[in-house]
Amino acid sequence: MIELSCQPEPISLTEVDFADRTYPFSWGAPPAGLVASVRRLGVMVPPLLAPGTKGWIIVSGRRRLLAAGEVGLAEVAVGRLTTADPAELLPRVFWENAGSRSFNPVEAADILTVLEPLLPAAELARDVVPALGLASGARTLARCRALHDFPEVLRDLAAGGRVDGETVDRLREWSPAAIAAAARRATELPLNRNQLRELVELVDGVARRQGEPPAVVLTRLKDAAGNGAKDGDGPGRDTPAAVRDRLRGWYYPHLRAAEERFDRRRAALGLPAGVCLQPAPGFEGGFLELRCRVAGGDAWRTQRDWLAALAPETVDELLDV
Amino acid sequence: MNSLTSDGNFHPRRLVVETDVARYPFAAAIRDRLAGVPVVVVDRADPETLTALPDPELPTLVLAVHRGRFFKPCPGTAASYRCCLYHILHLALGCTIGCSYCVLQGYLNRPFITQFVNLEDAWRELETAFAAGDRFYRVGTGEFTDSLFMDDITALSPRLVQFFARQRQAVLEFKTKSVNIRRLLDYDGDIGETVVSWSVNAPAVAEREEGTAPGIERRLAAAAACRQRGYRIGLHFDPLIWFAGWEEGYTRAVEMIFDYLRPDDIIWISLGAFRFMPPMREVIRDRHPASCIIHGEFIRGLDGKMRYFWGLRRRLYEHLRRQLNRRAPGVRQYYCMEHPEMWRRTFGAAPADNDVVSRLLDRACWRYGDSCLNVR
Repeated sequence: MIELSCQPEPISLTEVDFADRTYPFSWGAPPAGLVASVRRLGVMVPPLLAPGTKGWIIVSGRRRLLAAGEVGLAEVAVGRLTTADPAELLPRVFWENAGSRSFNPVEAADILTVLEPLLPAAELARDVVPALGLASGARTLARCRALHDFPEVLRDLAAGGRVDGETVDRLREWSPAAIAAAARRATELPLNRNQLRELVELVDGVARRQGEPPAVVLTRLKDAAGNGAKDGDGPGRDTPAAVRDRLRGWYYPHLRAAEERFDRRRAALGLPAGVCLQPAPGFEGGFLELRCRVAGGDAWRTQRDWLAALAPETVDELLDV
Repeated sequence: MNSLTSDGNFHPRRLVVETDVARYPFAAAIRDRLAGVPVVVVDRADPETLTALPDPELPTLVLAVHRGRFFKPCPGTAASYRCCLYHILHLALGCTIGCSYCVLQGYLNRPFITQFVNLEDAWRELETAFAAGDRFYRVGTGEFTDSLFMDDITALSPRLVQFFARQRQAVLEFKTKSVNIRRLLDYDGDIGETVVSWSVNAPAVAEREEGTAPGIERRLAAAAACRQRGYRIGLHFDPLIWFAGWEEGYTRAVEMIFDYLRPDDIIWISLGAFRFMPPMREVIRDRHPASCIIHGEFIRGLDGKMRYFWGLRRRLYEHLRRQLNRRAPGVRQYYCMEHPEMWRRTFGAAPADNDVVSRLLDRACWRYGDSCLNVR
């Protein structure tokens, strides 16, 4: 057993290899509360480091060290291990972390992915998965593996809770370039969790139907935004709603054409003020939804007369989408 | 491991038998035909027991006693759609052909095929229902399984044909994609008015989406052989799939039909556009990642199922009907689970209720005319 308690000694932050993720217990910026605490009190609990090839690697305390850097500390007192066996340390440090905080989705995914080869499957399912706040089942493990390997830009979104499991399921079949492109789009617009899921679902659907890689669809989507005048968005401007609308237009071309045809016919009918006539565009037969807003006897008479004059053929034509 | 030959037949590598089945001669006959296949005896072939068996992917035939009803109305769909009031004879459960669109995938995730062996109870149930004499029945065995894909093992088809040949107010319909018709052809008794129906589709759909099922041409050759023996032939264009080149594909399918069959050979043709309950989308995506069928333009229908957008369904139906009417104008066509408005737009009239659809098909049966029931 490795003895984790060792005498803290100061170390320059420049000697710490922040890029190393042998011990992947945290991802993302340190919480504001921790930064405020470090600014006021310094790093109270020494992080634990081990020797690595490009400097000292972080075994535990990444967020404390990042907070120290953020508040301008040059040195931090740390515990240094002379040797470290990740196979032995990883489970132990995991349980120390799990006892004191919860993990964001990326951290949970990274931890499960590194612990998977080290622990028996039964122990993983019984103890580790619940401690990470994850659902049980093979799908969870597949999602975690995918999230572990996703590009940084998407992992940042996921750490912020903006990537749900279904989105991960779709994205894990995409190329890294396409995943990064989707994540950049989600950051620029910006898209919330549901909007991102819908974007990925639609891009994936369009790509599969057309037999194109998702990256091509995303490029086309971006180009279409550039030609925004045509789409009514204005050049160079784009919004989540406009992107969704454009994608839905590609994914539902016949439905979109039918909606437009219906709108033209409805406009040609000359509806009286206050009357709203709506079919479900995916019309299943039988009815149109007619809404009348009546503000007085005159409006009522106008609308009644209009309805009385509505020929069955006109209704048929309206419904013939 | 693939349990199927190119004929789409089922070849079990393991037999699971309930202790109760020993007293049924039908079970003993199946076990004789599968001599050499390892046998596991269980008290009850419930899902927990089956999934706990070692090697759950091994193609397995389960012989079990059915404790529920064998004979029941087809579940059909919501009242918003027209249904033909078909009846199901539930003798087996599961299919290994592996069509990407198959609804059975939603229920069964293991290659366990269950054959119920208490046929005596099934016959009794049927006789009781038919004895009431108050209606005409079209009865199918292909709702929860393929009617013929293991008929070489069960030898059930001749027994069913024989039983239904004696019924005056019922016809039996086998529904299949297989070409496992040897026992039907070899049966030399009275076949009554038994219908053997094949699911047909555009050749490209059959190749891409219908697992190990034989191609359309082989199915039609089997249909022609059954017709030659005297069976009536039904065809089911279900599900119709919207894909690039669908018009040519379905035109070709219709041409192929009449390369093998004459219009008079065909008792009915059903048309049904692809539809599925929303959770099936994930099942299909997981089990058939290369399939594109879930990427059509779907709307959620009045029964909660995802259906092609109205305009697409209509184009599919109109095209098929045009092709069929060109080659066989007199053959009865009907929609499976379609909205009356779709009937009205494409057939010119909408059936007022499900009884009207039912009678349309009943009247295609000769024995309906003989049964004195055609006055309702």
